[in-house]
Amino acid sequence: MYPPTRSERKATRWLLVSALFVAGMTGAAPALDKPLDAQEARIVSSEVALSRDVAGLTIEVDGGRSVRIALRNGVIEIDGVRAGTYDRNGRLDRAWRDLLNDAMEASGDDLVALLKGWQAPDGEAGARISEALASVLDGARTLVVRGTLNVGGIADAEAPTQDTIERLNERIRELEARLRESSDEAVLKAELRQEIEREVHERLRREQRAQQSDRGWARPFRYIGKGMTGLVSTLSTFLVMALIGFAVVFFGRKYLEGVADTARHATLRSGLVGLAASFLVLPVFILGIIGLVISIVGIPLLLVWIPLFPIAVVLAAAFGYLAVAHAAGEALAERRFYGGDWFRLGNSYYYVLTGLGILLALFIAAHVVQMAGPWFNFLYGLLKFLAVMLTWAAVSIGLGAVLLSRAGTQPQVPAPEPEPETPSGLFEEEANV
Amino acid sequence: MSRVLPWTVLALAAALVAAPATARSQDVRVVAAQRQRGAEEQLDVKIQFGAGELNLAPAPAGTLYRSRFRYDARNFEPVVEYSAGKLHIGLESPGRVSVRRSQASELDLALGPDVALALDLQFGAAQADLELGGLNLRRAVIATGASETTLRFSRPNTGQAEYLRLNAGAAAFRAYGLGNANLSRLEVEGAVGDIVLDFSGQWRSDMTASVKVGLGSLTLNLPRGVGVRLAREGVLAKIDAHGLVRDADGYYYSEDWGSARHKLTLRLDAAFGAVNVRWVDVDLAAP
Repeated sequence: MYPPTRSERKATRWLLVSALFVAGMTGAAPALDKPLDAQEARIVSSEVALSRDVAGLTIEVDGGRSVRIALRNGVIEIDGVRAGTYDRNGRLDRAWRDLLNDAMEASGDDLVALLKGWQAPDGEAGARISEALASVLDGARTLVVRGTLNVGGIADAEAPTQDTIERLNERIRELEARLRESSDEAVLKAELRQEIEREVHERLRREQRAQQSDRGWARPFRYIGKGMTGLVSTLSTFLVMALIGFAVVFFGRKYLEGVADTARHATLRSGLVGLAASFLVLPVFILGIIGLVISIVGIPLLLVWIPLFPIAVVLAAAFGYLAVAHAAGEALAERRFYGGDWFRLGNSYYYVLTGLGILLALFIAAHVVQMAGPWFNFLYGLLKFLAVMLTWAAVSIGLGAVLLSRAGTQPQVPAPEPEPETPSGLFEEEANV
Repeated sequence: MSRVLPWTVLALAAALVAAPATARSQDVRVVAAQRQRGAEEQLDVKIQFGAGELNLAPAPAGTLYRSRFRYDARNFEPVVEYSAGKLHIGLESPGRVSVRRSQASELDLALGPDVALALDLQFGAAQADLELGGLNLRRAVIATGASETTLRFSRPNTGQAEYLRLNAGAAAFRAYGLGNANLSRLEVEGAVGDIVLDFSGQWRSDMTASVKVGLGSLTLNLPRGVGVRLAREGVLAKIDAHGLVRDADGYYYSEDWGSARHKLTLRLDAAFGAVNVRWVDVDLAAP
């Protein structure tokens, strides 16, 4: 917002003078307390707004005349222009709000009578509101000044409601003087503002340059930082899964082993079942809801079905993943341990730990490669892709194994080979010996 | 009772969940607007109301419309735009507002009985009570989302309504006194929920009704004395059509179909759920 130029100020001043002159001429009649055309108004539309901070009324009467009066945060506004102040919760505020509360329920002639019959509390502010209402409701073209003059940003709250031409001329001179003062002040403010803007821009440029130089220096460390973050995240996942796995082994080793055995001995079948299950989860969930709704008596069960079904699916997938880790750890152990090592390390805790390590090894490798910098981006991407695929396969096989083995209660393992029949004659011969 | 209980529990749960949200400080604002009738002969009303409580009723004679909003001024602003017989009214939000937060909004709207009304009403998760009796309704489209809506024609419609189109989403929708609507065509589409269509009232003309229901229950309250013909589509829905006889073509008829002064032709397409027919005794010509 730039201050007005000299020619603009001049034009504004002439406009002001002309407006006040016209106002003064048309206001001659109100000065004699006689409206030009006092006629009963018909309210065409009205709007009342009430809240903690605002109490506003807008009315439009026949002929297109309208007025908008609002008491907002201690300020009286008439047609959007400041026309004075009031005390919040003071007499005027309370009286005005009471009026608006009644106006909400009234319509037509009742509303006109209500507004015309309103007695504003003593005081200039109340009188100004009454006058604004009367100017519309009585159809009187009263004085335009009405305390709403706003010249060069100066709201003249103290303007009198009715002036003579002499007094108006006096006020014109007064306002011109204030306008000059405010213009000088505005120029000063604008210069100050420009100076501040220049300084802010300069500082921003300096900061941008500093950031750019920092970025160039810090670039090699960014990859190391990202890789380290990924590594820490993967190790945290490993730790959390290991803890959960230990808890599962401690409390339900039999079931975990049942699922792990199924995953090992029926890997393909488990994978296919898990894949199918992952596709069917959503339809089953929705069909369950529909079925319960249709049955009507099952509607209360929705409260159980809707939250518990997703939880059950997630738990089954996590349980399956741990079982696959167990199976992988066991398979590795079978290839590594000999003799007495079995008694020391051949247990489910160890299997889960090593299995999780196997399943997460690709993630760890990917993050280590990431630390080497942007040159190994392709390798990093490939390793991460393989890691995700492995995890997805493990979850699918695990979920399928959980389903096939009924959560480990019926492991799908090959039946043991029948023991060879003992030739009874041999013992007889030996007995004879 | 068994059907009320789960809803009560859900409502209580929702209230408990919503309580902390509504307890947050709000800038509750009440805005009332009204306009007197001028030279208008017709009023096209478009209402868009997201969520909250909506009440619609006839206004006193001489009034074109009256509205009263109650809303949180931090999240919403009311829209009341009127120009040349067209009224657009509703609550707008500058940003996304959760349904929970908007539950506290209210709109009471009264429409003038002296002008021919065309109504386009859209509301989302709202509780709506719509009294259209005594108005001069010519056509209406009412689309609701997840709402509980009651539509009533407690008094006869003063005009001849061309059509009434009801589109209910996941909702409980009840329409009473449709016989008072003086309606030529009724179209109802319901996705999920309970729908009640009560055809009692003062019948002055024949009515054709098309009802499509996805999943849920549909109850038809049919007044004795009005001839009813029901054509049914959809094989999975269970229909309890007592009081209607079925002919060889698969149509259901009331016994007085041939002799009744006024006739209701119903085309029913229900995918899943139950359709119940109830007969009600009403004085069809009562003032």
